[in-house]
Amino acid sequence: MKKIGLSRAHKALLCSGVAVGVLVAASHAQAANIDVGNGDWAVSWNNTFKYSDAVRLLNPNSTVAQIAQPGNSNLSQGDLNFKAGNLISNRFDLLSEFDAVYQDNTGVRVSAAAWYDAAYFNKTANNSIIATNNITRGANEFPIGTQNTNGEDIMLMDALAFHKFSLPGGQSLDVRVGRFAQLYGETLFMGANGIAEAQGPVDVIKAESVPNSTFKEIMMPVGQVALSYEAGHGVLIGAYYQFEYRPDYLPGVGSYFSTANIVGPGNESVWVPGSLPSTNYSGAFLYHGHDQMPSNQGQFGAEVRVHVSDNWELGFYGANYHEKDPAAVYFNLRNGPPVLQTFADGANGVNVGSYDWVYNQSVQTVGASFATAVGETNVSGEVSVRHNQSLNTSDSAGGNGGAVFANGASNNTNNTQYLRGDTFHANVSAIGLMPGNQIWGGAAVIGEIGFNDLLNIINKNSMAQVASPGGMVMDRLSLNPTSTNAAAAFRGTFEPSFFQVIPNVDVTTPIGLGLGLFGRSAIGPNIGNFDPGGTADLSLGVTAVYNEVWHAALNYTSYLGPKAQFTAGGAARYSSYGQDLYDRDFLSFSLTRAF
Amino acid sequence: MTNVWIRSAVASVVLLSVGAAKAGVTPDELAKLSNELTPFGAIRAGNKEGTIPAWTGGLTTELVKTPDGQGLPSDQFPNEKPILIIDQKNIAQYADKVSPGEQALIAKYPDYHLTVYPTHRTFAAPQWVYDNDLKNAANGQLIDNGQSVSGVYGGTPFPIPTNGLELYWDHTLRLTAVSNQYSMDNWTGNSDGSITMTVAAIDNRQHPYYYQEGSAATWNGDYYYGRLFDTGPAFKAGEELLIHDSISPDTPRQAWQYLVGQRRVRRAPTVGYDTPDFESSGANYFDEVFGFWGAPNRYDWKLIGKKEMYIPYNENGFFQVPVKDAMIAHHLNMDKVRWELHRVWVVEATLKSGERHVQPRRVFYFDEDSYAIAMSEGYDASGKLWRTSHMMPLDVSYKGYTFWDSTIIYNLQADTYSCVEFMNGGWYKDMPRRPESFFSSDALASEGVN
Repeated sequence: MKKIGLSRAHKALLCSGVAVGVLVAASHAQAANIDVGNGDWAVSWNNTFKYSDAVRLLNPNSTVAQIAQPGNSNLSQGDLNFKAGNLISNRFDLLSEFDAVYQDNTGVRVSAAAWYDAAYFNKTANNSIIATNNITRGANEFPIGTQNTNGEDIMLMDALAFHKFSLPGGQSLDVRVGRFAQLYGETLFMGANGIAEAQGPVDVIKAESVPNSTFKEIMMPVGQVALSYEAGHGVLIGAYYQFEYRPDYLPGVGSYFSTANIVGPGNESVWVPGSLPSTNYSGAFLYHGHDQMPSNQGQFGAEVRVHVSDNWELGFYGANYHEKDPAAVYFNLRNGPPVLQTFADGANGVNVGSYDWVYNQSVQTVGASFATAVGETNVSGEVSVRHNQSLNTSDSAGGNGGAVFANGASNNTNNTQYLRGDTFHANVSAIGLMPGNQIWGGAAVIGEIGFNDLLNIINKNSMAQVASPGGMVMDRLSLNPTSTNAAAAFRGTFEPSFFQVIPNVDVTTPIGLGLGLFGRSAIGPNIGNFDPGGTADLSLGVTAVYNEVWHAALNYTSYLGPKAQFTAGGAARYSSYGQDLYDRDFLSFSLTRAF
Repeated sequence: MTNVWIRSAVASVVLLSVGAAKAGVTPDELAKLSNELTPFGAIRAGNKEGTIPAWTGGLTTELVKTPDGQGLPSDQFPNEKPILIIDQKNIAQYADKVSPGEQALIAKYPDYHLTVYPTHRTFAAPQWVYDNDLKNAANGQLIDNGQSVSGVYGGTPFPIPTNGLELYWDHTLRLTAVSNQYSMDNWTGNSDGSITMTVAAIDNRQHPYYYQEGSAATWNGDYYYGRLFDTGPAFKAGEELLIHDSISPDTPRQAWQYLVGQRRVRRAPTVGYDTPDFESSGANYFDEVFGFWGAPNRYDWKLIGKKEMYIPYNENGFFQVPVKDAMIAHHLNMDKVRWELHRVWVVEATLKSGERHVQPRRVFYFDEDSYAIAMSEGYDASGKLWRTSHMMPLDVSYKGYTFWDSTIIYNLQADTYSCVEFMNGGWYKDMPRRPESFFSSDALASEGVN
């Protein structure tokens, strides 16, 4: 049971940062440039307000939302909380950005985001106490942790200072210190399958649920110091050290895109398989304990980029980092007699222990990239290998896959109760334009193919204590039985533009497609923007820009492929790699104005 | 009407195979650059009517920058009065000196008119540029079927142009600042008469072809480094666009974009030709910027001849006008745009077989002194006049260099216009030459703020 939460992240990136500037003028009101009466200073304060909402189109599907055996009762709260026609978000966002730059080479930047989503302060459509894992809230309420993330928050984004040192001979050294985001490599949509995975976490909530979010809203900045040395002769040498670890910001339990009630903010308990609670029967449960998080220290990297010719740039990278999503969950049996407890939703439970999410610490990656232009098409790609990447783990008994019980020495480094391995990753992407014709004024075509392959398992003989039908046994860890070594996926957009459809209104109609080409990655089913083989997601949108001031967008998203819960196999519970958002099609709307 | 066509001595060679090795002009022609022609090859004398004066060295006096000595150089001729207004009532009388595009605008909009002032041949260059002009005349030649040049540097590459491609290169390598920085806005005029700012930016430029110490032998072929930093609208603030233009026919343009939020850069090879210009919300195509911007390879360039026409000239007064008065419904405020009678080279570009462009035919009008494409027209696939544009030259330096870059493109069919790199209310600075690394994609990646 791993990587439950990082669902198809960054989907909103489809229509956002990548396309910006390729063709479409993502446009808006004049930035607030502040005249400080001194020509050496460039000061600006920009504020972007966005209202967005989205409505569910399909009722929960009985396969995806099943609770009774062989289904998994710990997965469907987000599905059952909404019915067709319900608002799944009803949200205001504010992004405020302040920049002050002195003489083009010294400055500070501070930005912050705030939001409120009324949909997460209503009662839910769910009435079943079996379907929720709420301890502190009723069956038809969202957990506090979800309200504090999906619902409302204020988050400091960037907070950095920078300076450019001009060196003799025309070289320069740029230094940045503070909290900011920076990515290496040449991935487009599939940063999680590339070198960019090392550099920072992603706000999955915003990427999935706030239409037309841009990279600067979705990339989560972390505290770091970064150097960039322009050595001349087309050589750039960069390096960073991060002094802050932040995980991905996963959808809260019970929120629309949550496909498991036991991961993400608001996860409070897990029911033992088949042990269904009721008001007059006590189900066995484990409560959420203390997650094993990576250290704030120990993430660093470097790059060398070389212009080998006018039309070719190569990059070489190395990094050490901590994974941004949970690698596994460790169960801990309670010492002493079981404790009876009645939850706020009315369920009676027997507390038999606790569980901790474990984030894998210290992955090494090295990679290389290229960027070139073929005619008028940008083509770039990268390859990388990772050492110590966590893998989708089960146990060889096939029983209760991955439900391993920690012992005192279990950790997230060298004594893990999950497999770690060496993996190979490759991504190739292209950005091209189709010329205008009778129908459209121009069209951007963007595509990326990602591939990964399991090369070697480091700790394949590790034993773990697992629950089997016959009781607790020591068993050898094994790869999740439905995983394959290799997997590939595609993601692309096609976005025609229509200028001045009516006076002062430009329109685009983005079409996005994510498609699992083959394989079920051994890393897990939910690598950002990397659909498992046989599953797909499709989006059709219309965006309109009025007077460069207002930006409106309407988008339809559909999830395709074999319907499934996140887990399959009954009590064995291995990863299904199916379409666990099968019934989650939605229509979204957003209206944005920037000042 | 044919009498107004001033046949160039060599205009009859328009069909000359431009790929042939033809270095320079004959000694007789070269001598003309010191006599009846200016060093850069314009006719030194005025016309016989006296409406075009002789070139006597151009305007080299220092213009005061207003306001506060920090904005833009002031109107060169603030006290002059118009000598003629050409509008719907009298256009027939002047039709031979008004381009078809301007005639179409006059016919379309009752209040569109050309406000004509006395002609001033203000073009001037430093002496070292004139010296280079003579060397270029002797040594310059088209190579690679006219897609590149050799033997030229630091001045007009073909002071005695004999074909359309040589004029293309005269425009493309026209005199410009070595290094500069200025604020600019793009504006779109919509068909309902409203005006929209599509981008506000600070542009940084550097032009290695005009490094004074260089030479044809040492020049690497790069002639344009541009680094555009968007300051608005808020959604575009922080985006950057980097352009390298070169005479290399294999890589005439390289472009990169800075990706906000990722601090990465990505190649943007679509910046050119008939890609809708994302810096102006698609209201014009990239190669319509600056008269013509980019490689010549999609067209055959045919020299038609040289004639006297009214073109926008000496527009410093216009750029002192606030935006709200400078741009009005459907067109510029034509009371504020200054037109003068100048000799222009007329070149017709037609789509090469096997190439593609939304405008299969275009006509360009090159100012005889600066070689800037002062005006142009574009025709659609059905042969109908579709687009007409003109530049708005701004004299920005104290040495006579004129900034021939601000361009307005009218779409006659959509009833819209696009102002590119307009500077009303802005500022301009000549800069000390910056290290070329400032114009590298690495600099974009490592210096990006957002």
